[in-house]
Amino acid sequence: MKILTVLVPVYNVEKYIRRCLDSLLLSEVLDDIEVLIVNDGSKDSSVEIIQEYCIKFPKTVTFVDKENGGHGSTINVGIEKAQGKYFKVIDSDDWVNLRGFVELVKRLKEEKSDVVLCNYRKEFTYNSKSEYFEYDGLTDRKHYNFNEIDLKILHGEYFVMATSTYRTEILRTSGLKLMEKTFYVDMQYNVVPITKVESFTYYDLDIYRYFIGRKEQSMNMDNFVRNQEHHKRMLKWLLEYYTQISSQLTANKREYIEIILTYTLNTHYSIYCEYDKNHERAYKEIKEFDEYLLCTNKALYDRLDSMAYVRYNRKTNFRFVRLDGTKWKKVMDIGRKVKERFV
Amino acid sequence: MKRILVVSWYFPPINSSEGLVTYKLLKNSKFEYDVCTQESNSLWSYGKNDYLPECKNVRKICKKGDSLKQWKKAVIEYFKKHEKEYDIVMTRCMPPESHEIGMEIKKIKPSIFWIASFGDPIADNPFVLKGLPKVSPYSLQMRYIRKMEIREMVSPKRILKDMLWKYRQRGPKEELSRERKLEHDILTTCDKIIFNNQYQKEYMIKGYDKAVMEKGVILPHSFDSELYDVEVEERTNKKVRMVYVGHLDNTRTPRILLKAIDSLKEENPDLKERLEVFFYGNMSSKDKVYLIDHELLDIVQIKKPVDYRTSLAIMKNADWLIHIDANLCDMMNENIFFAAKLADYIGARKPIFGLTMFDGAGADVVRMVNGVTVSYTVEEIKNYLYLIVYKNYETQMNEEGINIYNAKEVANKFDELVEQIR
Repeated sequence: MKILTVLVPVYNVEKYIRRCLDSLLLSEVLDDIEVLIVNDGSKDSSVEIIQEYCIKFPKTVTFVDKENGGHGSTINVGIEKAQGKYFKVIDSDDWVNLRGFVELVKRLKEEKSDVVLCNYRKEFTYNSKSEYFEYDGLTDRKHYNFNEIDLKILHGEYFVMATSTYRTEILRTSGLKLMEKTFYVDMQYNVVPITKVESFTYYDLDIYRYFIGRKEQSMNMDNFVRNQEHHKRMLKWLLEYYTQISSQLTANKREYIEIILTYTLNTHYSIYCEYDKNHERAYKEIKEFDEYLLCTNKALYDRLDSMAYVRYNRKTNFRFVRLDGTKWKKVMDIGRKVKERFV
Repeated sequence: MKRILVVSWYFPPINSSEGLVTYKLLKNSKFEYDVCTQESNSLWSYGKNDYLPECKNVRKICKKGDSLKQWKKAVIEYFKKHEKEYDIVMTRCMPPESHEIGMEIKKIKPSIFWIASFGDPIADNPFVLKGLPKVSPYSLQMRYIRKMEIREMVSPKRILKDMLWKYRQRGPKEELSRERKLEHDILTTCDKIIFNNQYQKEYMIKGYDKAVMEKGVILPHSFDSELYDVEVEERTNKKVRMVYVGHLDNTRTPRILLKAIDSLKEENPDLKERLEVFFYGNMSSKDKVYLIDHELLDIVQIKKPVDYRTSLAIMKNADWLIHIDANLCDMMNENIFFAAKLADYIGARKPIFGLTMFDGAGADVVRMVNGVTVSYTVEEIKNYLYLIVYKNYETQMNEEGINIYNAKEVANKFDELVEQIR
């Protein structure tokens, strides 16, 4: 049995795919990993490039070609077909650090935890800068019981796709089925498997390279505004899912998922309160969503009150959103600057 | 047979990229050319090439090149005397004075067919714009960066300095608007426009009407396989040799590559026994200092500039050829520059290691021949260097891709264009 399945979802990535595959297919790990490439109906020459790798590494590279169904659909196929004990998703425009990846595979051979966490780096190639992310409250190689840890050691961070390697069995038993043709499916990936996770181990290894090639990619609030319907759909799904299963979860898992949901809700509220320039639409949407949240999960609704802008907006019945969200954003920006200077 | 007048400030033996591009194109064309050029001024060029074979189909008409102005006048005078001999004129830029001559020629003989070839844009050249300061250092916008105190912020001295700075910026601004007008006049007056890549074409003629758009033709830079025959010293070691040939400066800088080498060396102390990197040509003093400060001279060597033909032999003798484009990501999403040396690299049939913007001309060319493209990140470059040096990473050159840049193919395309001219 292979130790690790690396899923590489592919959609029109002829410019990037070589970089990703070249970083994975090292002689040291070829026998231990499976690189599962799922093509999501690419229209460029991605498939031809992948075929080259299939020929060169027939025992390591597996190729699945399917009709376009979005990022989530490729992960669903990946989980179903994976043959490795562990499972990791590497987006085809990202890549891994060679040294770190070899070490990860080596350590996974002895691993028993449900999840393995590692560090990652955002690579802003447009200005040659990078931003390193690490779980600095965790200890290298330490085995943690998820239900017993003090969640403060995560410093408000959670397990994201770039940092986590799941035991494949956990993904399957959790019933994870990502939504198709929808953005933000990583939120589902971050929440659903946790319901079955009992333990995790942290490796202080610098592995994942998250590629940000253009400036506008990093200022992603514009994308959130553009794709707000997807964000809403996903968030509603998560809220309903969590509300339904929360009673079966341990206190730690509940708290952990609520941290993620609060963070995501904050993003969702700020899309309308700060960034959407169509103020009338924003007003309508946020009013509707706020009422929906109150009806669906009162605890999370109350939790959001800890955020000043949500609290004030609720008190003013979101009237400022209707007037001009950008003005509210300016007020927020000034507030932040004042806070930075004096607090 | 059509007689074509070519106006090009640069032409061999003067060693410059533009001159060599013109040389390779004309040498492989079936038509005969009279090239108005100069041999006395090597300003903005890299010395002389005395070893290039003469083109049998090219007659050089050398005018005095003490100054561009004088040369321009001499070429126009020449044309006035010989206007009946030519039906087609091709002007080569840079410098833009060649196109100014084209404008004058078109005025003298409106029936002449004018082909204007652009190596780079004349106006709004991102490479030039990147170097221009955008905000006055005395402006209030700089108060956080310069950590101005309130006293300085309200000081009349600062306000005066700010005004003076803005006043001085009028020069470059006026120059820019002059360049824009010139480029506009050229694009609208000439009969055909040659670009070396699609991105450059889109960048330069966006916003123009259909008539201008239809004039645009893409003729890529090319290599001439007959020129790769100079002998070079045999290699005495088994190290992987990576070579960069050409000009580097503060904008087109190898710094990120040097950082990657430094980082790889830290992780692999035996790197110096496995890798050697040669830079032929100019490098900025800051990068040279970086090399010294980080003790990289055991791996990286800076060599003197060499003549064109020797450079081709050096390329053939390398394992990997390094291409570096300026990082203009803060100005544009797609690189519009196709460096002529890339075509020569392709002709050497050695794999190319392209440090370039992920989208654009440079990356497309490198990918076309199955080279490696890396973006401006230390980690990505380091990964590939490791693969090349320690894992024997190889790529198979794409023959079809190579052929696109063969001078014979490119000249054929050009000849077809000329044949269509009545």
